[in-house]
Amino acid sequence: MKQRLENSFYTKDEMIYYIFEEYGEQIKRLIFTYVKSYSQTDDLFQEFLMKTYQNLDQFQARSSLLTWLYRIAINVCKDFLRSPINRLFLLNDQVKTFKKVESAEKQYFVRTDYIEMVEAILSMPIKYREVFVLRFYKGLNMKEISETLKVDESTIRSRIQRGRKMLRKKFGGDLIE
Amino acid sequence: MNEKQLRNAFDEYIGTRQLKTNYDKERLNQWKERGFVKRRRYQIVPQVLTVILFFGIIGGLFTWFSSMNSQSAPSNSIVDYQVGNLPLYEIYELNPKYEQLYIDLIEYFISLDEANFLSHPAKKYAEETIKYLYSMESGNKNIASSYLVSPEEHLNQAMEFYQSVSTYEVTVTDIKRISDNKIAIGLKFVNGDETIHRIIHLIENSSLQFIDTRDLGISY
Repeated sequence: MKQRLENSFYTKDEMIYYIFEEYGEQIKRLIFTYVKSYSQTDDLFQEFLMKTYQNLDQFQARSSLLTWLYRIAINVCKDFLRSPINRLFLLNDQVKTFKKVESAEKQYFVRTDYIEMVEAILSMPIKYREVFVLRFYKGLNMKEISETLKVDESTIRSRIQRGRKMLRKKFGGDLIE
Repeated sequence: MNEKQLRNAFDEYIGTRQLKTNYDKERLNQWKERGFVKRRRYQIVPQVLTVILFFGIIGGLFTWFSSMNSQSAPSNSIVDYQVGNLPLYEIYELNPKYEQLYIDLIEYFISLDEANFLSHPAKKYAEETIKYLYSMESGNKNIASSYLVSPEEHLNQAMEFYQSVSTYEVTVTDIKRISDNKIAIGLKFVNGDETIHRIIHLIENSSLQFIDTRDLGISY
């Protein structure tokens, strides 16, 4: 796909549909970890598609396509989270969403330590949460996280360390090693 | 802890059903055809809330400033301010004698206030009196009748008197409380060589009103 984008073998429409089909699901799940609301995830996913479509020409094959897409999605989420009015809506929606998720999950899944761990990670402040999500959910390495977030690798490491401390406080022991 | 299990836990937590739907694709198509379409809920409501919030803050500040001003104004100070739709300064422009009369009235009423005889600030009585006299002089029956307790016949007679005094000086001769809710205000009109004494009785009901006596000399 990199090659395709770089050499413009395909039209922008073809490219955006390819991205939608190939990466849409994982991008939406990433967005959810930021906003924790299904309806807001839908809206932000549309914004992501729009921005990606508009910026397809700017993609350079220096970084991986997925990292580039993650960066766009994360910027969209952060823009949304910065807006004070949307914060108000998010808080309201979040309460409803969590109730819904909890009851649904209880019916279909046995609650495990892992689910509790995910809950704890998603309730961390954004700057810690995002490195945990990218590292342990999306499976990115330090370099890729650094490229995605535009933050030094050393900063990423220290955030992971601090995040681990928070989790240790909550659960005790070394849960994520 | 197993990273794979943690990854699965993320997926389970977010939901096992697919988040990407055909609706997303439809919206994408719509946007490409007509521009980006956001859900109405989020498009309209924040704007409406912002407008309500804006006007709420403006209204709140206005109310707060109004209450601060009314609290900070000394109750017996001699100040001009608007009474109903008729500002005192406009009355002074039309007849400068009222300005001095207002000051005299204030002084008399303050002396009553010091004796705890008044239930309103002194300036309130003075202003209402000036407004009453002006409404009579200007011949505005609607306003004048709202000040006068007496029947219409009495209103006509009183109005006739005030309108006949074309060039005059008016001074307060005395102000006394004569019953629980009645204050007598003695006024002296000098119209050329002619001196006319007049008493108006100020009634302390919910809105201050008057009983205007005819030319009777000073007696209560």
